[in-house]
Amino acid sequence: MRPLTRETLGKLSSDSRREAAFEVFERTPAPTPKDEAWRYAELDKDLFALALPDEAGDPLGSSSFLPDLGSMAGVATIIDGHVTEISGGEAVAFDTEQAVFGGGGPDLVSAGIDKFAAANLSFGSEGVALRVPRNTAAGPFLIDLQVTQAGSISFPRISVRLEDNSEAEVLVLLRSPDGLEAALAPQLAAEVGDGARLRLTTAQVLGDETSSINHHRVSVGRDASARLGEVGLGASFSRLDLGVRLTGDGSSVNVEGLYFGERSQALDYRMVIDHVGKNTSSDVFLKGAVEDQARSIFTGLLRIERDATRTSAFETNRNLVLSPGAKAHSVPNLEILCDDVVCGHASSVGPLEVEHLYYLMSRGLTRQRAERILVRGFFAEVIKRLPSLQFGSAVEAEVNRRFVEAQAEGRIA
Amino acid sequence: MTWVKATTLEELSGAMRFDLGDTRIALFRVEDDVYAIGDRCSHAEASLSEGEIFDDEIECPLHGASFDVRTGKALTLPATQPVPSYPVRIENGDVMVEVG
Repeated sequence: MRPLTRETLGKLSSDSRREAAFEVFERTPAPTPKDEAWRYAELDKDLFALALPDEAGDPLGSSSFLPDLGSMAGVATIIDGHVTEISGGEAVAFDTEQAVFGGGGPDLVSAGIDKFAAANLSFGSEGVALRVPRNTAAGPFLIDLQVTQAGSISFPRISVRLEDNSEAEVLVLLRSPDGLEAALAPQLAAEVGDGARLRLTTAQVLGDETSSINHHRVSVGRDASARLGEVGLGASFSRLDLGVRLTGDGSSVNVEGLYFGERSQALDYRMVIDHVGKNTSSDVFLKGAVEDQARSIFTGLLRIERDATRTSAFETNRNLVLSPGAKAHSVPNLEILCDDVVCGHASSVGPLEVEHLYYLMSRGLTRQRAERILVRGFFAEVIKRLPSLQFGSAVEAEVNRRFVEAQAEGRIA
Repeated sequence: MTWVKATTLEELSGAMRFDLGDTRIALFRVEDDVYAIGDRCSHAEASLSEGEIFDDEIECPLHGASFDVRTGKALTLPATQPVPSYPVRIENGDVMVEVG
């Protein structure tokens, strides 16, 4: 494994963008909670001291989150930042060359996003690009990101391009074993062409000592739609920086997801939905729960540009705080530069409703049983709304398992 | 009465549902024992195999009624009626259920 230094950079494929990114990487300080974009987020490990793996480790075994591979149109496996396996999909093949520099997508480095984005372009040497030709429907595709080596940090690059009037379903799974101290900082860029429809679901089920910093950028063309599902269950620290640009007139995006933080986990969601075209719509719906010492952060910005008339935009973030030591931050924002819009936001943070508990207990349920029913019901609403149901039953089982375990260990109060 | 292979012991961890025609059966593995009861909750028809198991009790995912997985007996409100129970035997690692 190699440290994140110039010497390591020299061993990777040479490219001017890589060089430029490395300069930004070197002069950018590691993020702290003092940066507005990292407010509330306490990343207490120095992830930049981790090293780049030279090769892929041994693949992980099966997982309840692994969808039925037989029903997949294509599977790409990326282990420790190295593409190890690609199968299926002829007309819509995954391309490893394209992904690193040719995938297009926005330039996060010169936009000054953060040190991780610069590190991704500097040290990311492999990835997959998925292209769906115009007027075709394809999928589901699985991109299986695995972390297997302790002390490693890897930077896979993924690009998804839907040409005009195409349709695709994509699943991204992030996983690592429990107890593995490592980090994963992938970057995903999706471009949804005019009239195209993308369904993209990400399930983050990393082990309890792995950190993950994700940058996702999605642009949506005229009359096109993107449905994004975000499931966050694992990792010690996990962050999603999501940017969606609704560039085409009549474009729309839905972001639906859930997270469940246990013990000392931190789950951090930052999203900016930028309405640029006319008649665009967005709906963000995120639900989460935290218990013990876990914390969650949601900051969502709906930005309506000056000419984005007839915009409809809404965001909702609901949080359950299940233990006194747990914390959920929820900061929904609106920035409206246009006066012909319908916009709103909703946010809540609180414990289980006492009246609901009382009602169930008055019907003969024990308190613990009543709590389980309420937590199950809380998440069932959003699990049903995920863009694809491939992860649905695994997500439901995992959330329930976590809650039952927390109850049994007396972490719920 | 006939014995039907539902699954294998290897594949059964926790709970699973097994449909035989119109009969919905929930299979539960409690340590090394396997039990089969009706999957449809006698209160509001939820699927019991999606519930949580606590020792020998299965808790209905929808309204929290619980049943004894060994006998199908309703243990708590809101369910008052039992669900059917089916004999199970293990043959060479296969889980066989007697239905009929």
